[in-house]
Amino acid sequence: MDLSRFHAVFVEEAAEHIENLENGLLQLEKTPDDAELLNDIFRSAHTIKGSSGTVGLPDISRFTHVMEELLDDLRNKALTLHRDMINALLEAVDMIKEMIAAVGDKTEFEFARCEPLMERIRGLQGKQAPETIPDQEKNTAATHEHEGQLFLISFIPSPDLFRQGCDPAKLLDELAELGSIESIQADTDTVPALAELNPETLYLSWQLKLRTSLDKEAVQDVFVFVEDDCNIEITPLLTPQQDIPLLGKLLTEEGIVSEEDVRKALTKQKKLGEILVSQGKTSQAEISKVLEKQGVQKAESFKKAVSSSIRVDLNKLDNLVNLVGEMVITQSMFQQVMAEWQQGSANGFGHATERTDRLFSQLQRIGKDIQEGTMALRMLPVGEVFQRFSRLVRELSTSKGKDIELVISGEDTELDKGVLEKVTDPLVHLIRNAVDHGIESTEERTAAGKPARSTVFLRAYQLGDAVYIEVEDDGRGLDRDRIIAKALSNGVINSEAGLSEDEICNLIFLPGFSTADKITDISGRGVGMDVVKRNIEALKGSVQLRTRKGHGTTISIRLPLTLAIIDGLAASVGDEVFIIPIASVVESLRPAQQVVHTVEEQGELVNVRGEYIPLIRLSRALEIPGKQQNPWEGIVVVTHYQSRKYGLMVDELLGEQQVVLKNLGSATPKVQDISGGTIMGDGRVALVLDVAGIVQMAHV
Amino acid sequence: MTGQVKLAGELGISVAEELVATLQNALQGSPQLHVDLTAVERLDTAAVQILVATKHQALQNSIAITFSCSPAVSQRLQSIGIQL
Repeated sequence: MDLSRFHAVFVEEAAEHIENLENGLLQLEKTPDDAELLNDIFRSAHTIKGSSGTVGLPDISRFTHVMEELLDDLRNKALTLHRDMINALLEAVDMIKEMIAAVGDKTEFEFARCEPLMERIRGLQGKQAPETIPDQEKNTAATHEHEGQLFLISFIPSPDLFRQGCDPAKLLDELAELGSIESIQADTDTVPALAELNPETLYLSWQLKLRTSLDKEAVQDVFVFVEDDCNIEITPLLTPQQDIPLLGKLLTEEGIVSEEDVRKALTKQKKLGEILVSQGKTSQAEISKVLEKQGVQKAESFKKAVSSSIRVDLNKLDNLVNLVGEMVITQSMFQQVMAEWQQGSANGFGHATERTDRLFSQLQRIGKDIQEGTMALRMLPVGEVFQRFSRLVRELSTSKGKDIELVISGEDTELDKGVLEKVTDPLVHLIRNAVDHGIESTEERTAAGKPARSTVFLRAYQLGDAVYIEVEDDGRGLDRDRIIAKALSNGVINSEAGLSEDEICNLIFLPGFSTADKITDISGRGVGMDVVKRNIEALKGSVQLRTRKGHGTTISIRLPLTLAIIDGLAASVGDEVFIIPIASVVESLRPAQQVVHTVEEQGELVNVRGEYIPLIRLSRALEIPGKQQNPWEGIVVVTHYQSRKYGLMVDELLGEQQVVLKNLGSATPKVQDISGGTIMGDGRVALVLDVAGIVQMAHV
Repeated sequence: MTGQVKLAGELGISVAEELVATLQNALQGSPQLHVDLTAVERLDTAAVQILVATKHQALQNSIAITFSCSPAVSQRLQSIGIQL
């Protein structure tokens, strides 16, 4: 059978497990005693090993096997975890990534490249390289022939197992490798006669006894791919050498219960928690608290990466399907009303109009729900991307010999998938910059009286209609003088006169600007901050930089929440209609004449309940003739931007509505104050205002 | 009169349909059938299942069925706990 057609599925599935492995290993370094986490990591490795073997990729399987062995030793506490192991395992993860990428690209991967790493991992395990792995496994199995635990395994596979490309014989062979199979019996009674047989359905089931030195979990692991739809029961049996307590013996002798029952009962081990509770060492409440914590930690340690496909909660999808169903029903109801209307129904038009109104509002509600549901499908928590930066910072700090901790917050902030994907590269760049240029060497830090361990903060939060992502370091801050010197020598500026501190710092976003004296492998390869800025601006976002010499630098990225549909407030200026995004609107009002003040050469202010708010006349800002000349005749829409309020003066408010934001297209130059256009219900085109842009343009 | 059917090579789910057809054919006619598996190099569980079904069919049709196995077949049957 040609197995290569399963490769694409394998590649996709493996990506998830690799992510699990990687994040798990990084987490494990922080919490080395988390047995549950170690188990999860082990399972991921095991899954990759198993599925690569199943789809005919023996190299990946062989390589992962070595990883798995080391993990298994850690799991069994035969070895204790140290940093070298994490390093080797992370390198192994990278190697698997490469191997899988080769499968995806249908290129050859030279297995010899894995040998040194495999050797190293075996070395960490304290093992010599065995000739071939299966042989070694058989040897160990042989020595354990007459010891270890006996398991009674009942395996009732799913009838669809063949169709899933799985041969139960392989599973049974795998079991045999764990130890020795003392007896095996297939139930053939369920197989029909040839005439009624569907050759693709599996009718067989098995009962077997396996003796192995491994624990129940290891046995269970064999079935890891099929356990979801197969019925598998693994019961540890006591071997005759093990003593049955007297009570059990007596019960058996008296014929009250069978020996088998006693053995089964004896193996029903209590959970650790229960035992401790029953011994009065702790309370049930405390146990549950710890269990809860364990659950939270586990959930936190696994964040998936952004992939080309999107995983959607089935409930979200069902909800959408329901809504579409409702819409279809409403549509046919409409049709009926229309038909009645045409017949000039005896009930008169009044009735039909009333029904139309009702149907229409129903349709409106459904439309809004569908829209929201669809948008929600595209939103992903930023944590999926943030998590992988832990690895980045770890590697960078090792290679630079700096002690750096990455502190992540706001992982749950959601961002459109498209935006999230495109923001990853700029973030990598910013983090590299922070580590390479921002953070000083350990000696420099100690000399400056700072803690030797430096911190890079990566945080995300939502504010109004935008999501902010910030990269902050507690390093040396930007060197203002060097920036000025560089800018002068590059001819970017002619003199530093009239430039504010902020403006000077933001010079580094100009093309071809790098103050790094030497080029390192981390940053300073000619790709500067201008690329970051360009990428972010392509997403309709903006970048801002704050720095304090000796205290660190913060780079703040502002990204629009979503690209497609926004709630807007329609307002007119002259003959034009503009949309102001609701998310940035605080209130709208018509001020009295006496609360509007003019400040010499500074502009106008409106006093709103004691708060002075700068007034921006949209007609002036946009250079179009307005109908109203005075704020007390028009309307002031109070908006907020970066925690400050600004009043936008318009002629008239037209109402609130949802608009589909469209790009203005490449024909129009980049306009700072307009974020896009939209088509109104009456067919007119309205421009959507970018409050941030307007505020910046107006210089208030 | 003993009917005979000889199978060879790799028997698996990919050739399951053909295998079923071959065996169904062989089950027509004679009151005795010998299935020769001595030239079979490999077989998977699906193929074993077809052989079991053939045996059940023979039983239904009152045909006496016998099998002769290659080492590979014997080993596979043993490893999955089936006696033909």
